[in-house]
Amino acid sequence: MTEQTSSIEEGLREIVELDRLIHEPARMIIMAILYVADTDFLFLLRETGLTKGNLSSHLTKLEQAEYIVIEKTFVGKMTRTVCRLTDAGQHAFRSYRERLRRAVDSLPE
Amino acid sequence: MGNQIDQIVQTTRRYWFDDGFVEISWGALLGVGASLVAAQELVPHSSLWLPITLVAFPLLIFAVSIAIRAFVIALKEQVTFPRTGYVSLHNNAGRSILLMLVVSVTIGIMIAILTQLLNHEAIIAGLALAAAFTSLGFRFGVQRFYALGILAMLLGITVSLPLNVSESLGIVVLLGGTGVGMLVSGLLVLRRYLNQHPHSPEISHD
Repeated sequence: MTEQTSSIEEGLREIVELDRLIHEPARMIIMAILYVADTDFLFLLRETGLTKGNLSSHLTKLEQAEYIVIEKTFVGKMTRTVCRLTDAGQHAFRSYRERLRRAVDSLPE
Repeated sequence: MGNQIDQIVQTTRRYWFDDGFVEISWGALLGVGASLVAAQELVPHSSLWLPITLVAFPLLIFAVSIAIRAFVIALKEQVTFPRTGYVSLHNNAGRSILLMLVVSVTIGIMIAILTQLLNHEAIIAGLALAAAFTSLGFRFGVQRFYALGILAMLLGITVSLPLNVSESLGIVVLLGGTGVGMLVSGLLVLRRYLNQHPHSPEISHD
């Protein structure tokens, strides 16, 4: 087995082991945003370009996996729904990012 | 996809500068710095002048920085967050205040000492400002910061070499000119932001 074949196999293994929950494009964008900042529903809506229903559905899946927490706070008389990555979410996203990078790097030019 | 992640991360960080409030407030801070140097020239100097300024300048700049930070957040709460969403970057609050303290002390001491000791300190200060703007522009992907860096560098060189004004006046012009540049840049960005987002959208969070 050549060195290149072994490297490609290793890359494919990394792809297979990617966290499917994060790998979905919309959820990957949400996780990347929350990795650097706590944000509200409005910001996520604008940045992802999703509909309200779709965004809610993705947030619920991430919340069920305990990757994010969703908190309602009051600013004056208005409510603000703030999404925040949990420690487990931070760890999962870091692993996902490293695995993805290794997989891409293992591919031949 | 890795590049896409990097882009999302940078876009989120850049959001803090989308409304121009940070530049407007930093411009005001540079204006305070220019006023301090100008005031230093107006007050008669004594042997206690340097020790007093070494303590007073950093403290004053630190106090103004804290006030400006609170003011920027209050403005964002009123103007930006209702229009385009709330973002709180993951900066450690304690570390941010410590960094602000270090920067304030450094700027204050530089103003106090450089104006007394060095020739052409406006060039050095201009280059330091240009380096800071370039670093911020690169880190957050805000290209107008490069233009502000060039402005600071050109002002520093111009007041020192062709105009050859007194050292203190040079620093006043440099800080004041760069501050005005930041104010203008911030106001233009704010105007564009408000044109693009005139109203808060009606969002149900449920």
